[in-house]
Amino acid sequence: MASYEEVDVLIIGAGPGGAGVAYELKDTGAKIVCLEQGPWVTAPEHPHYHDEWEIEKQRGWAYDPNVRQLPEDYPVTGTTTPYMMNNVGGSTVHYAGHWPRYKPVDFRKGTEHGLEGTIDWPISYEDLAPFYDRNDEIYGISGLIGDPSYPDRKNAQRDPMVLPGKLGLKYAKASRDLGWHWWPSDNAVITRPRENREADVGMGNELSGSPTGSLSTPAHAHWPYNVRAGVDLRTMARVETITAEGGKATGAVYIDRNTGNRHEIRAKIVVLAANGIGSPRMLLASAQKGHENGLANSNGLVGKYLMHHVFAFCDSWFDEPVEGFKGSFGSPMYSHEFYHTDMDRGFVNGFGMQVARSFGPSYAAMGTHTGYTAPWGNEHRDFFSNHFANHLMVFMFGEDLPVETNAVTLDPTVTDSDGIPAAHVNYELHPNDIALAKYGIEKIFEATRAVGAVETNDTGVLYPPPAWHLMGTCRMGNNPQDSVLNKWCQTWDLPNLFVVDGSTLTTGGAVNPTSTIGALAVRAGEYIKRNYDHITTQKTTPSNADAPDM
Amino acid sequence: MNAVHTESGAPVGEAPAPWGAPEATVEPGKGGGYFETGRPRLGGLEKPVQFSEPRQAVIKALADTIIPPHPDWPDASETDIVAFCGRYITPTGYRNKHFPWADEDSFVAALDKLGQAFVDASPSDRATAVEALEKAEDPFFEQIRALVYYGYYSRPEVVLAIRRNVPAGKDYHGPPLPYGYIQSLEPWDDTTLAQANENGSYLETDQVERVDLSKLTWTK
Repeated sequence: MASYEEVDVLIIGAGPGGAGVAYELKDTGAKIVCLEQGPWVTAPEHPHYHDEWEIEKQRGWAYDPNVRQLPEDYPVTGTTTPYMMNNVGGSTVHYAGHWPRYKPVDFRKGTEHGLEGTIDWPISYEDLAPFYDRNDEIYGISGLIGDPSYPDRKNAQRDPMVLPGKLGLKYAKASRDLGWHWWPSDNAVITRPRENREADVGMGNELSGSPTGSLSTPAHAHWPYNVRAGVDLRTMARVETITAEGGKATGAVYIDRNTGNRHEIRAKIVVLAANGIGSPRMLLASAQKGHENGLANSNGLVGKYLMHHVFAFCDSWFDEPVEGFKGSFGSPMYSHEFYHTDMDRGFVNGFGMQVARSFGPSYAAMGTHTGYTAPWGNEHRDFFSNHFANHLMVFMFGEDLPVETNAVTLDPTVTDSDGIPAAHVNYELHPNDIALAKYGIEKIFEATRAVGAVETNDTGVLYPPPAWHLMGTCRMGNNPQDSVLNKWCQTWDLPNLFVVDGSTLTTGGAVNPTSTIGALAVRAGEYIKRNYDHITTQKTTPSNADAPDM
Repeated sequence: MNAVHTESGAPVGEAPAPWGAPEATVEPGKGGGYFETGRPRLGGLEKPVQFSEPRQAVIKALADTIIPPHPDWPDASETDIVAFCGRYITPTGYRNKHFPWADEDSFVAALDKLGQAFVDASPSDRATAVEALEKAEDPFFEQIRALVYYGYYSRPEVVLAIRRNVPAGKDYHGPPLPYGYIQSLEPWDDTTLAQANENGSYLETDQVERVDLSKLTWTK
């Protein structure tokens, strides 16, 4: 390679991790480059204005890159359905925008039970709380302050709640009648307009993104501001190797997918934010002299302790309108009645019940969320008329244990279009996960039957799980033996290499992870800003006790 | 069998799908042959696969068998279903990589197998023929069912019929945007919200203690 360019901070990946760190650093004068292997997804590429919006969900907007097969995607092999997107904004460009936080207990699961690979986080809820608030403000979150199942968050900014509709009101009544906890959800959906973004109009289908910007993603909330401030965001730039020398990361070699040319960037700090599958893949694919097992992997933990949450979909039908096609897909409400460990149930951890919206008539005909396909032939018309929009779907999703053998590795034979090894996933459910999920399915139907469900259907415990959540594969921990990162997201092996994304999460909680990933990104960005000189002169990664504080 | 080539000379299974997106500059098939082509075009093919009249008749007969005619609803055979199939199957010579994974050659062969006899058959005999495809787990069955369901329920005239005929669908207006449903969604009411904080609690960080693991009921 003839030449290279030098920057201060190199960020790999333009999703919530990378965007969040860039946002904190954008006004420091530091020279920042972000490499993103995919493109911007523009408004006209969204299916929301098309008659065919439902079939498009199975095609270019399929959640699984193995199904979608866009040029920016890379294969993920193994028994897995990884749900991710590779573009500016990352996988948030097709997320529902459910925005719960972890609870204090989620940071102390090592103390609570320590099963399998469970350890305590090196930080507490209280450490992260101010960054949750700050991150919420950047994204734009709607909801209601005051949930008694969380510590107070009186400083968090909220747009007014999304409207519940018949569907939200129904499950709220069910929970209330049973004496269960319930609360209107926080959603990454704005209900008041912001610069370059329209307020939600109750559209639905956020799982195919939002062309109006009503869904809060880094593509709308971060990158326009990052770029305006001078952050150099390079799309179609696929990193091939992260380079290292003398115990430090030195930068990366990337392929410009527009030209096929390779370029080298050297940086004083490298932030890897390629998601819970992409980041371990990148570290393992960057094996080089002195790092034969991959970067940051001297203890062999890169890629291990993969968590997805344990899932079941529970459909209920009523003999009256539920109108699930209306309203933002972000959940109208949730119940955390069964969130905490109760050993009388025979398992540790817990689950959330999250009320979801539905889609349109094709979704009803094709079997909603549970494969309950409408019969063809003479029974079709009656079935359709009795089921469409009389439907309520509740996600059972629970905390899965971090298990060492649940892991991301490199596929020895399959590669992406640039010859970089594909990721391979091994993930099996733990008996605790299964026990928890079965209990959860029962409880959900207890609620929907109490408010008049006339028919129910569920998927059972899903395997492989719908892997929206890619977590734990480069986890933060307490020492170089139990984790890949210290409490500031620095890799134990290379002090100037940070990992900030779902892989950073030590445990998964029983909540959607993006608000926590975002909060960690704000925190890591702020830390780099305040300690830039210290970090760039560190020869080894400091212990949690010795690291300079904020 | 000789290798089939597209007009541009590329062998079958190597050419990018003709979805109208710009091709990646990476050579097709290079580096493992994965994911090198463009985003599928919204709405399917710009130039749909064309079917002969006898084949169009089979598609229409299939549509009316899968979703039988009803006086309150548009007939499935009269809702552009032929064009919808033509837009969402993969033309001969291109990689068949997107839902519903129906390639033209197999699709047409399945239509021809049913043929005029299917078109001329009584509704119950047609149903028997489709049932045979379903029982045999013929991939064509799932493809045509998906195309008919997705195609039929995407048509504006069917959306109007849903509004007329299905009480729960009286406000359904097809594509989510530009209108959304903000005008017809019920808000939270004050009484309900006032009851929301009746239940729920959390553990403080320093309250977290070891649980009694002897009570686990699962075994590994």
